[in-house]
Amino acid sequence: MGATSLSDRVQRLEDESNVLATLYQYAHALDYGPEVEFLDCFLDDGVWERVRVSSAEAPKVFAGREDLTRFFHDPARGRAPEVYFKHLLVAPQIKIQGDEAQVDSYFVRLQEHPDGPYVFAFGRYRDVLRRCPDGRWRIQHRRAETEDTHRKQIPR
Amino acid sequence: MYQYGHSHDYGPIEDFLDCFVADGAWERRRRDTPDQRQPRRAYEGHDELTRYFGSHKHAPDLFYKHLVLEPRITLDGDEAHVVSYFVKIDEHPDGPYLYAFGRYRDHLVSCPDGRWRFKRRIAESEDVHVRDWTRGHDVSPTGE
Repeated sequence: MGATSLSDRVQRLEDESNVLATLYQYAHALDYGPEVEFLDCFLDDGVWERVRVSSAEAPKVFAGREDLTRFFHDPARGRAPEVYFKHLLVAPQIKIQGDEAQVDSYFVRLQEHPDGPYVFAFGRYRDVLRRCPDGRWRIQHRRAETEDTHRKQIPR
Repeated sequence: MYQYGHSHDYGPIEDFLDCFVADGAWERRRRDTPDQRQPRRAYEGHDELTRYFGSHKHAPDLFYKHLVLEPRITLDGDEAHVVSYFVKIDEHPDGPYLYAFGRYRDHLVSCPDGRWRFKRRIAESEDVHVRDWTRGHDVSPTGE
């Protein structure tokens, strides 16, 4: 760390801040929309993948704009204001090398319920993002490792 | 502070110990200290911190998350004092649940390699929900 120049250090902070902006945008857009902001988090050929770590279930993969649009509109999840939930992203560990960022972070999904809010799921995101020509960082691959999920019925 | 959470929950122990200076300490205090069910307890130095780490299950044997939120950082030269919130969420056959919450009161120092490490971390548990199901839960639930 010692030998890097001040401008390099500022650039690294700026990169980390911009990476986080994309990860936060993902959560806000998934919970509230609009679709265009959700899709804007991903490269054109970006991939979203879910793995349930304690299950033999095959990974679920959505690759590219069409698949991601389908993922966004998943009727089983819904979105505010029909149903309220929060994707929390916590403790991001960011490693940047050139135009690529690898981020391991925690996620927790809180869900509304007539009995009161509850923890619907938690796990880890394992992300790869790339710096784009417009200066934004976008997700090339998001792997959501779900470690536990509630079986309560989501109110509709 | 993020490395602490990730390495506590998944390992490896080297990453966990790397969060602390050689004589660094981890201390638990309950909200109701000194009339508590569990005594105030401290682990000082890497040998004792290794024992602390070994007294917990880690993923993939047990999945849980230490979330650290709203850190308030006060810098003073090569020292930092941080007060933050922690929330611990655990897996359970009935679904994930809120296991504990409280505050971290941390004292960190700047090290020659440019990293900041804990001189002392005090975990103040304010409420803990120990449920009867275990897949090999903490040997000694700390609430943190």
